[in-house]
Formats: sequence, C-alpha cells, structure tokens
Amino acid sequence: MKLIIAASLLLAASPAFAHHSFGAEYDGNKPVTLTGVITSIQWTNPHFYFFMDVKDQNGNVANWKFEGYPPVVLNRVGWKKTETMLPGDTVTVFGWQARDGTNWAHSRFVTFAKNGKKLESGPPAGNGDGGNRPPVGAP
Amino acid sequence: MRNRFLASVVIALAVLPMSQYAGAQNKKLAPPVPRAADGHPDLSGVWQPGSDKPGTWEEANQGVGVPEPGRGDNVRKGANPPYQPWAAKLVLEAYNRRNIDDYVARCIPELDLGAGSLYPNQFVQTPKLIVILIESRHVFRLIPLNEKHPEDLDPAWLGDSVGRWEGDTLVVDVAGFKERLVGSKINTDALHIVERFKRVDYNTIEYSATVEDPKALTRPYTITSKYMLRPGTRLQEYVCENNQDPDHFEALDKKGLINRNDK
Repeated sequence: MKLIIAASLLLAASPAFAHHSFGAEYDGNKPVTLTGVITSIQWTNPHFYFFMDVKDQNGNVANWKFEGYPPVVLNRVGWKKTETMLPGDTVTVFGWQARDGTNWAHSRFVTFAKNGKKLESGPPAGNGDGGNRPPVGAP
Repeated sequence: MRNRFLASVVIALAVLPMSQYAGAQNKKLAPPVPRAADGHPDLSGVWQPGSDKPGTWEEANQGVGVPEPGRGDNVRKGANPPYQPWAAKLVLEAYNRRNIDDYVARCIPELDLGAGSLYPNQFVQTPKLIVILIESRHVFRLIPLNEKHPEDLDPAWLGDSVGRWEGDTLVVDVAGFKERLVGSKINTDALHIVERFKRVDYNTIEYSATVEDPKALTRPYTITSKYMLRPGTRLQEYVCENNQDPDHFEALDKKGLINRNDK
C-alpha cells in the first residue's frame, strides 16, 4: 500500500496541466503513426483539430480526425496558420488512438513532407489511462 | 618556442575582450529587480508559471510545449491536498470516471496556483491595484491593495482577491470560492488561499500558495512554484468556442469505456 501511495505521488507530479484528462479519450497503449493527406483544419479552442485521408494497403481511404494543442500554443511552438499545415499537404502524424478504436486520435508530432519539418502538435500522453490514481489515504 | 609564446599572447588577447564582453552581457541580462514609483518591486510583465528557465519563451521551452512526464524536475511542488475521508472518496470516484466530470474539462476556470506553464500570464501593476491577465481560458484577476473582501461575497470560480505588500512580497488573500464537489479537485466554500509573490531577481518571481479548507482538508498545505519573465511574449485569445470533449466523453461512456472500479 505504501508503495502504491508513493507511486501515486510521483505520478501526481506529472506536468500535463492539460484542459482535460488525456486518458479518458485516448489510449496511451495505442500509439499510431499514420501518413496521409490533410483534408481540413479547425483552428479552434480548447483544441485544434485536423482531418486527414489515410489510404490502406488495398487502396481504401479512411478520414482520420486528430486533436492537438490550441492555436495559441501551436503558435509558440513554431506553427504559422497560413503556411505550416494546409489542405492537400502530405504529413506523417504520431499520436495515440481513441479508446474505442475509431479513426480519431490525439496527435503529438506532425512531420511535413513538403519541407521535412517535424513540429510538436499536442501534449504528451501523460499517465495514459485517465488520470493518476489519487493519493487517497495520504495524511 | 617563440611561436608558442606568440600563440599564447594571441589567444590571451582574443579571450580577454571576450570574457569582458561576457561579463557585460551577464550584467545586461540580469539587471536589478525594477521598482515602481512607490518603491515596491515592479511585477509588471509577461510571465510563464511553472518554469525556472530564464529567456524568451522559445529559448526557455526550446520549441516544446511541455516536457515529457518524468523528464526534468518539476518546478511546481507540493500540490497534494490532504483530503478528509469524504472528500478523498469523491476524488476517487472522479478518478473512476477518468476525471471526465472535472470542471476544467468544461472550460470553467480555476486558480492555477503556479501551474499552467503552457500559457503566459501578464501582470499589470498600479499603486492601488494589481491585475493578472491569464491567457488560458481568457480570464483576469483583479487584486485591489489594502482593501478588505466585500462583506457580501458572491462565490466565484476564481474567488475574490485582495492584496498587500509585506516588505518586498506581494501577499494575496483569496476567499469566496464556489464549491467544487465533483472532480479531481474538491473544495468547499471554506476554501481560503494565501498567495505570496516575490520577485527575487530580474527574471524570477518565487511563488507560494498556502491552501486551507477546514471542511474538506485535514490540514493546510503549501504549493510552491516560480514565474519566469518572458520578454517579447504577447497574450492571445483562448476562448473555448469548440469544446468537443464532453460529447466524446459521453460517446465513450455509452460504450462502457469510462467507468472503472478502483478502491
């Protein structure tokens, strides 16, 4: 029990400070790396979203939805709304899939085919499954 | 031998002005703590909470929004509320709902208490009032100096703040909070916070918050953090106009993917 509490306290120090718990929606054990063509972008708060057509081995196309940082944060990590990501761009996204296995994911990094740049697009996965177990029982 | 001597002289001549230059640069980079006309330290400026690295936003964060968990030391420490059993039970219930019911997930603001390193805060100081503009969720704090809380306090998400100078430390007393009885952070209307902001050098504000809530905690506890000056950073608009998370939570909940049963 002591060990569990100590581990919880360590995890509680995670610096995510995100707008909501990552692990409620996404699965830290389901990393995905997908390449496709951007179809649209929503520059909105509290998250930006982008949509991407991904072709599988049989040529079937699926449209994926990715969540990421709000525009204010993207701006500070090097994104420019008018040039960084545009519809038609080919990109490779690393992130984690939604817990229900749909084509919806949390994005962490995007690599752009047009210039080779890799930019951060969303926060880390954190604890991965919906919040840290609270240190209940601690004095 | 002569060549070696000459080489030493050349290197010494080359290095000397550089070291003088570096000294001048260091002085230039770290001027004394500025003072307002009334003699108090001037806290005006744009600051990043939860950091201890000087420099511009880009220099301090190296293009990264937040570090990976476990990488580097956390500047903010002590945020482990000692809950009474009933409050601990609610926090565990929220955890078992994967914290989807947290107010913050619906973009309701809270006092960050030295956290929130993704978003800058701007301090505006006048002799009678200090204003803190917080980019995240686009909120502000008004901190009148040497005044009392209103007698008929209307409970607020950020509480009511009044400040005073104790020497070079700005002390802010915050009371009048709305209750939060659902989610990963529990507080009653008895929540009372005393914050201390001390600009210890040109680039750094040392911060502490002592939190007491006799109805929900077994004892007060103290959070410490830092705010670092971020020259050149401008606050931008962050308003939750497209919050899709609650709908996503609901969809996952209907599929039975939210609840768990940790005891």
